[in-house]
Amino acid sequence: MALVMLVVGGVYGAARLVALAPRALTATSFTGGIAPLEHAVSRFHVRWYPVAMLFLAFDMEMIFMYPWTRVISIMGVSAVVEMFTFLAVLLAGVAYAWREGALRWT
Amino acid sequence: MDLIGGLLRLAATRPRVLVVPMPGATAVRVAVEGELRRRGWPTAAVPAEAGVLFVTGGEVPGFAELLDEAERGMIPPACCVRARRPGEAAEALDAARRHLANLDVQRSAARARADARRGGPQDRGAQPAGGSGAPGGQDRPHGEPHQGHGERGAHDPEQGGDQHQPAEDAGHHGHAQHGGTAHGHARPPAQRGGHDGHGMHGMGGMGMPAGLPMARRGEDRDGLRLDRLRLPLGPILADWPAGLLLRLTVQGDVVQRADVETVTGWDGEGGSWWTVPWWRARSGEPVTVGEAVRRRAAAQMDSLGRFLAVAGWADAATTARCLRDDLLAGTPQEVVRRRVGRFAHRVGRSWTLRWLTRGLGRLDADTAAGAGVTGPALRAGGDVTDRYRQWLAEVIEDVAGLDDGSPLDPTSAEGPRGRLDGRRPPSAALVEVLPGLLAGAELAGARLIVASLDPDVDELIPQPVGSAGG
Repeated sequence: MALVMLVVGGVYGAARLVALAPRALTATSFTGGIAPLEHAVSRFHVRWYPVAMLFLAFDMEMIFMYPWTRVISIMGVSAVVEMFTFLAVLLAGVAYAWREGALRWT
Repeated sequence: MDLIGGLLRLAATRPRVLVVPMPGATAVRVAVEGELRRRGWPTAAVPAEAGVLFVTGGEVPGFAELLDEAERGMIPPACCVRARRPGEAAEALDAARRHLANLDVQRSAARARADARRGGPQDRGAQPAGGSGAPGGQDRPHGEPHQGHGERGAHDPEQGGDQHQPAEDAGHHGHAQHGGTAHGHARPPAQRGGHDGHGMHGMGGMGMPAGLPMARRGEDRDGLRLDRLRLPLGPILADWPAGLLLRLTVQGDVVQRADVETVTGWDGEGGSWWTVPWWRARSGEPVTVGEAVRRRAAAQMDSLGRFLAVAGWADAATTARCLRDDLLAGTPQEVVRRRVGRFAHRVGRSWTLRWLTRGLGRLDADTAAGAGVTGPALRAGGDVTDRYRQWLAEVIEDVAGLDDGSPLDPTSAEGPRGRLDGRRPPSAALVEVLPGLLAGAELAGARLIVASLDPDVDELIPQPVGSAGG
């Protein structure tokens, strides 16, 4: 641990010694030579948000499936039918969103 | 034991070069690229990773501030050189290397720059006359760090975003835009301090990052109000047509709107270097078909090289540029035909490239003809995939006719980007068609679309293309 810190400190120190400029360059992002008008920290395009929400919905559904796999051998066919009904309800939602154009890429 | 100097000399043996082509200097750019490839020097994509800023061509007024901006973004050891003629490329690169290896010069330049930044802006030192091949610019004290640009934006009220009156918006935007590109660099420190105080008032404790306002919101395709970022795909960009400026409005990474501008103010002779044989034939000089076809094939290779570099296939891009240099150097037909055939086969066979570019920038033949597009873009009549395959097919065809010694018929003026005997130069139609193709494309797709059309800004001089905005 101490050796690692020594090595890292050594590299930093060497860089400091060799550097020509006394301090680091302060500059904004380079946009072709034109000064940037706005900060580029802005939201992602909307298409990623439906993908995230779909993932969440099906992730919660997966969580239900974990205990289901343990009891399915005891409960039999009815358990299978119930779980697939649940899945069908979720897929109906996805189909609706798809038809409405919410999942369109750009 | 001059360790630092030794390290500097070691680093200066192969510096990274950022080539900035000026409009009207295609021959110089080609020469410089060839020289860099022969020496094996790496190229930089942005000034921050560049050791040498190589400007090819003469002074263009519109570019002066852009080049200053690029210089300020370079980290010492750095150097700027300019070459006005193709023959000056090699000596300019040698001069750059000597300048970079000189510890005293680099140290004093770095110190001067740091002092200038710390001690407030001063007048820019005497402009070097930009003598050919002479390195310059590093010892000019540059005023005003970049923060200065943001101070104008500090006038913006805090980012509630949507409640501004439109007039105020337009005023601020105009203010900020004007300030961004046209204002001088020396500003008195008192003014800067005053702006600071003013800016902090309306923030409510939340400072603006880097002094820039956040992006305003605007409607998107579903009626949602999302952030719209104004992003220039600027004149100084790797593998980009010289002198072309695209002002994009981007939501996330999807281009909503594109406005095309060209950086002009250049008083050289108009006309593209790639179409010189046809102009010479038109003015009565005897030009053979072989010469013209060779120049056209080299132009297609140049466009292909740029396109492949944008697509990320650096190896094939280097091959394309190597073939371009071979064609321009007069390599005999048998040799170059074989190489071109192998290259075209390799690129045409690539499924990855096809999938990457499928469906982008669809320009069908009717729309193209309506806009006045001629040449390979019209004949391809499709998306980016069709266009680059059309280029490959045409290069193979052209290379078969390199030995043709018959005189060039001035009326058959088919240049690399289209017919040269129309009312407007072929690139004007390409530039006009760009905003429509770019709306709705992702950023990477936008760059691929521009690279697949590859408009040549030189052809547009002296006809300004101001009305080609989006």
